[in-house]
Amino acid sequence: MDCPSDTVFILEDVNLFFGSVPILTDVNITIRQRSITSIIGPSGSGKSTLLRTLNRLNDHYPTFRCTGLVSYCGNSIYDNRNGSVDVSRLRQDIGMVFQKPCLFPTSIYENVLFGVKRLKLRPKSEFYEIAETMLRAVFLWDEVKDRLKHSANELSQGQQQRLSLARALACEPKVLLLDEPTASLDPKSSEAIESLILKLGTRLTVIFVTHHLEQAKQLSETVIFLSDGCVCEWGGVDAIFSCPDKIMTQQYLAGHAS
Amino acid sequence: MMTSVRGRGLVGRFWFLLTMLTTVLSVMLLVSVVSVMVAKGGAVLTWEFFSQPSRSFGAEGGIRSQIMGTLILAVGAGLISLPIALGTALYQSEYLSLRFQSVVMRLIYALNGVPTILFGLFGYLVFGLYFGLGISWLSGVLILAMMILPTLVVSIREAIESIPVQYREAGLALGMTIPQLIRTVIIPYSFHGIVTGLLLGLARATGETAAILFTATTFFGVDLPKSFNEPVTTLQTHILVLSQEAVHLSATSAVWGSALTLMVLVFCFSSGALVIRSRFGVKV
Amino acid sequence: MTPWFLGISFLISSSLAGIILVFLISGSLPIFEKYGWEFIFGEEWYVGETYGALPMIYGTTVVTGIALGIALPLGIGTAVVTSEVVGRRMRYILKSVMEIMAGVPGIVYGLLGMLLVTTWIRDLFGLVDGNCLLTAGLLLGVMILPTVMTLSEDAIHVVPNFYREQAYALGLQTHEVIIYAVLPQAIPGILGAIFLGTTRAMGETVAVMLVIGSLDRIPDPFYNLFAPAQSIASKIGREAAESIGVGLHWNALVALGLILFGMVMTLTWLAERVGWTGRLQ
Repeated sequence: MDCPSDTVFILEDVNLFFGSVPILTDVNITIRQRSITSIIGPSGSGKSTLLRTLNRLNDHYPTFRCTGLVSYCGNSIYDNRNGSVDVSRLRQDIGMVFQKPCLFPTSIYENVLFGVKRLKLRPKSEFYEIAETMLRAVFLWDEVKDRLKHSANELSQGQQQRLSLARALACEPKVLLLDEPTASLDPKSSEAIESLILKLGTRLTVIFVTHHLEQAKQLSETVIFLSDGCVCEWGGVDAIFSCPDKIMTQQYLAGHAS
Repeated sequence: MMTSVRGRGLVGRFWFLLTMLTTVLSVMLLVSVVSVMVAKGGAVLTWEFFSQPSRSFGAEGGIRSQIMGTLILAVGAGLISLPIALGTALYQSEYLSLRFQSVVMRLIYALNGVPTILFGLFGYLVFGLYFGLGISWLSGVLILAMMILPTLVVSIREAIESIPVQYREAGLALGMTIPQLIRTVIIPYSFHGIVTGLLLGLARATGETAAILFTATTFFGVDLPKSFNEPVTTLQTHILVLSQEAVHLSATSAVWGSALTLMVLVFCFSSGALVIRSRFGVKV
Repeated sequence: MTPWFLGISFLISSSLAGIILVFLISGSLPIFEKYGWEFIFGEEWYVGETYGALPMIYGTTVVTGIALGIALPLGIGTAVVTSEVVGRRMRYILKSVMEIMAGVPGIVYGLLGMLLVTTWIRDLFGLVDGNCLLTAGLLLGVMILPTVMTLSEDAIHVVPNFYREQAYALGLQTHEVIIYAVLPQAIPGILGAIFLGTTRAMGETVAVMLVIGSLDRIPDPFYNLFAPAQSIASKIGREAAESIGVGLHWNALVALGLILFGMVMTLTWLAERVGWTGRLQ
């Protein structure tokens, strides 16, 4: 899917429910191409739910419902009226990295290529090259090049998370979703992921959820602040952090700063 | 659990159809087993059928002695097996090192794998001949007790292992000795596992035929045993003999009735175990 | 409840398997002394004259093979659907049905086979007699189906959900997620289920005894599944009562038991090798 315009995602009057319980209501946001957006807010405010709405991963909860318009590159992704939404294709376009690194119990090499291989995106002859490129892109190549056939579980948490990132990138996504990617990592590994996010932001659309306000401030251009079941405030990072409009945002930012 | 997103593409659809087909077939096969049993045996199940002893080699009368015999063997086996299984599980979990525990579990699994007919051979020689019990209900009880031992041990151990470590530590922190800990913490909190194991064991023992065939049962002419070295007659033996020898039509319907009764008995025990496990136990 | 009691019960249950093995070995010594390998490879069994176990070994293997041919595809397919496709309520129903059905006694299948299935098979394939390898295998297949299904389902269901999510997020479709992300991790448990089902099929006596035809001969040609045959367990079940615990006939039966024990223990050992530590049925 090629995006004709500058905006990747448009959400208009979106309401998200689990069963009859509203999680987020009245969401209206747009996300520009090749930008870095962070989603912040207190626990349980629906950050992950919002993120997972973008690649329809919430579909796997039987009670999940989404109303309103969610459009990706001009196509409404929840509009199944003409059965035209190809969820698999959509998710190939939108890479995702989870809070906990999730590697399949095979070798490092197989893990990098998991998506590429299964989706048959590239011919077999290119596999090794792809693996090398992707592992280099996440600064993991030098650490693992001698043990590509070893089990991925030998790696440290930080390395595993970078490997997850490499696996997502191998499918050549246009958008990258990260759900608290540094929450289970030590400071040094977090730093590596953070610099990767900054680097990737120049060519991809990156959207990430974080608890860590400093991280949101340093990495993102746009911030979405969720609270009390709605988008409390969203906009440029400077505007939100220096002079937030809403009392709620002020309190949240202040509470975290102290 | 996630529900499925319908797969796009031919492979996905084919795969989906294939697995659904296997499911429908499996369920149909098993449902037909039950429905045939009910259809064939349901008609003869009357109060008289349960309450009267059989006459004319199964062609007339009921199956009172057979039901009693089956239950005597199963319950007897359960009563003998339970303390031994409990003792084994407790000794393992409280007194043995982890390494040794896994060795013992292998032995228990090995015992579980022993074909039931071999328990029969073994029991015939050891209990029947060496201990002089002959073909008797007591031999049968001992044989079945050995046979269901692994089922009980594994179930009890599963429950003991699922006791949160804090409970155990709370007890130890109060200065309890291990026997005290067993009484106050381990047994109360693994009670559901003990009951589940017992019920599963009873279900197994109730349905077993081969192990008691030539060691504990006889086809005809006995009611309740009056001493330790008398045989009993059981539903299993009744079905086995009648199904091969019955020519009389009423005997055939009696054999279906006996089989249905046996199946219902087994179901009572195993569904009891299922209910307890899904309510308390390890989430499946 | 004092520790000495625990110790004694522990000793009993951990030594039983060994005691049975010793019993089987010592009981079968006379037959191996007299016949040696002839016993295992001999094709004739006439009480009082000669004892050869090959037809029974063959019968057990074939019958178990047929049973697996039925129970594996059906059981594993059903397990996949139960764990991955249907909703929670349906899963509970299917699981309960399978767990309950796993307990149906062998004698019930024997009776069904004896009075119904043999006739169906006879009429369906135009045979003289429906008591044959195929009938016994079919019955055993249905008998171990619930065990294979419910244990495989356990193994599939415990695969953590985040693997599924990760695979979905990469753009895989449901069947690809199951095949590439879920099943590879469930394989040890599924193998365990298969081994346990196999040992149950091998050791089953009455369900086989009533329908296999009880003819101690390897069918001619050997792949003729419509021929009557004999399995180890059914042979012991038929003749143990006559041999009354003494003499070469008894020794031969115990030796048959030793062979069966060997076959079953090999499988149990394999199951442990693949890392299976499941519950028992």
